[in-house]
Amino acid sequence: MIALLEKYFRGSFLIILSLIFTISCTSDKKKEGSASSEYEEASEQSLREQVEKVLYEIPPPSEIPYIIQGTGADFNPNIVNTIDKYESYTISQHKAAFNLGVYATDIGYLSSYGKTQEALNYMDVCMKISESIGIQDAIDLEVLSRFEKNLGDPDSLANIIDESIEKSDTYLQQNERNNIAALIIGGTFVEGLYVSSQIIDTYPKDMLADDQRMTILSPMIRLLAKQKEPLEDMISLLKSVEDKGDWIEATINSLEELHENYEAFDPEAKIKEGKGNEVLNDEVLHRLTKQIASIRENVVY
Amino acid sequence: MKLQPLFAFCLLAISSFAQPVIEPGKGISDLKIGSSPDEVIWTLGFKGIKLTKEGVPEVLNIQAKMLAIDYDYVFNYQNIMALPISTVYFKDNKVVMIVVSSYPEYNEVLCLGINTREGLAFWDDEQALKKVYGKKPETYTRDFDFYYYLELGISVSIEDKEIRTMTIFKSQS
Repeated sequence: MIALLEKYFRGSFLIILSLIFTISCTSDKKKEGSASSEYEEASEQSLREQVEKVLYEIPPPSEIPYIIQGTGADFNPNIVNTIDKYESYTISQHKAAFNLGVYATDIGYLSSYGKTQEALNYMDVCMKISESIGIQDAIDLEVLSRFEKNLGDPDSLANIIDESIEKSDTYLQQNERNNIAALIIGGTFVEGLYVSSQIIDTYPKDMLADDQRMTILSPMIRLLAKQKEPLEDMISLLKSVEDKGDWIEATINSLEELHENYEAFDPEAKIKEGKGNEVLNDEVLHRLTKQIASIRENVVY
Repeated sequence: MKLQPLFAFCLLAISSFAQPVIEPGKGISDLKIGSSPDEVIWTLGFKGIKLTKEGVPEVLNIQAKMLAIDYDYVFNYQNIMALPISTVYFKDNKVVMIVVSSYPEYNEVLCLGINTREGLAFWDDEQALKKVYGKKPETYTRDFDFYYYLELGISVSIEDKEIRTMTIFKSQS
């Protein structure tokens, strides 16, 4: 059951992501006869590798939603970003791409609570943001249609996901839109951190004693703690982006400070020392939560 | 900056949320004049880059000199975060001046929703400034046009007839 749920929840995120890559890649294939310098090609190759690493070699934070099931936390509509703001994101390509990733992760969260119609509404917004980035022409409508039809069928969804990932992987080898890809991944990453930290932070405090809450929330806390290395990869990925501009530079700066704080976040050590009950009141955890919320608030504003 | 229809839409959408308010002489949201460095880091979530007075680039010194505000060091921010703060100045480990800036792209939208307690907004012009505060401000020009009210504890910089930064400091009445 857990494996099925995992596929389902991860899937709703990955299908969006792979669709986006499919879209972005097909819309901007390499120009024939292009005279790129060796340096540019090497740089592009490096970025492509970074994208692939973050995409395929690290556990995506979007795994988090299915762990929510274990906590028994109620659906919190305030955690997801509202879709009525999407038009404001289209002012900036950076912001649009980042929020595309945010919405993709939100689809995972909504799906984990069976909010099928809401998930479809978010999907629709993702399509509109894709248009704003200029990658709408190559939308694979067939895959999208199959995704919509199978939203409630985890097995079929898993097959579609596998197929889409394979397709997008192929496209990634050919595309020139890795900058956009990096930003979309950045958005999914930040939203994944936000969802998990908010689940921990907003879990009812008056219903259970600290030790009981810790028992329930420990998988989520462990997962949050495990994001240190993915965070490093995320920073490397964003650093690989060419022509970063203020927005990406500032994002890197904030993620680097977040990483500094992550260095001091070691719930496993506290548990080993028999101080597991202190984890939920750990100042470092609170600061992480605050930093993540601050970054995310800027992103989705 | 001309407000395009889309920007106007954003402004309307944003207006339904609780917005940070700049209080001249006091601070913005939980970031206050007199706060400690730890309180600033807690409020913003970040410490930015700490620069001692000797290492501060001249551009960050302009307003401090203009307003005769002494400081020991600053936290300079080039971070995405919830409040559009660019620099916080400290003297004896207490905040003495806060610069809120709409210049970086990542701060622009945040500033659309921020007013002073009296209703002055980013991208307002000099006339709006005088109307809101009811009198002529002191002025200083260097790189930008600065308009300030020492007794209120607020200074703004205007470029192309639009307010782009607001600076909060302790009133000097």
